[in-house]
Amino acid sequence: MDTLIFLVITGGLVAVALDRGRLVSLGILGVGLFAALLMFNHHVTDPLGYFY
Amino acid sequence: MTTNRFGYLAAHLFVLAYCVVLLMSLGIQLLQHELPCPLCLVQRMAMLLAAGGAAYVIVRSREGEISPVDYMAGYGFAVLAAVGGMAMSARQVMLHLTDPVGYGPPVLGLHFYTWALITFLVVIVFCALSFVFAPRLMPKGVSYGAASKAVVWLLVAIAAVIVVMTFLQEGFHWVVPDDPTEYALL
Repeated sequence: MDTLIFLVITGGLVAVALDRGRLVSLGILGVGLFAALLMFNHHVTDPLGYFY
Repeated sequence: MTTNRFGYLAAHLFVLAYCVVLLMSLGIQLLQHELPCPLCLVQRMAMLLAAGGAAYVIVRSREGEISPVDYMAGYGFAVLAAVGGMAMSARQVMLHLTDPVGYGPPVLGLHFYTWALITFLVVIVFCALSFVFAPRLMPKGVSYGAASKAVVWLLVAIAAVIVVMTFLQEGFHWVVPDDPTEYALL
């Protein structure tokens, strides 16, 4: 899942570099941010693991 | 015509600083075989996203100046990413408050997650100052030349390398192990 999130973020950065507009660029990066926060939430709330 | 080049230069330094931080983490991962933990990976995500906000400000200034809406959107996004990153790094700092060893090798006396927390704090202060002094810092009369393109594409290249490194480490699993010691695909 981390790989997929990094892929989305990289896609957003490519959109920024190619100047695809505010909606597309920050939209894709926003999806990446939301996914990153969900992943963080998963690591914090998972009762099984001790996370480094 | 008035020019505001300092804010434009500051956006470049913002992106370059995170490029250096991410390159250092990749260097230590490759040279010292220190694999990033799950929380380290989400902090890398937040760093890339925060730098993406500043890269957006650079690219949207390619016509010589940037609109106030784009300026606020870029740095506003960087603040959002930095707040998320602060939560992630603060979580890891708190996990190791009573741990005399910590996770990973210390750099200049502090561990990576502590440095990450500091960088996110710096980003928030930087963006706040950029908003307060926006009339003087919004890029105006600038040129989007080869150096600007190189800075933005360097960030993209680092993100692409991180994708590959994470895939090698994670393989086809959903998450990375808590204390990773080997690459899943190597």
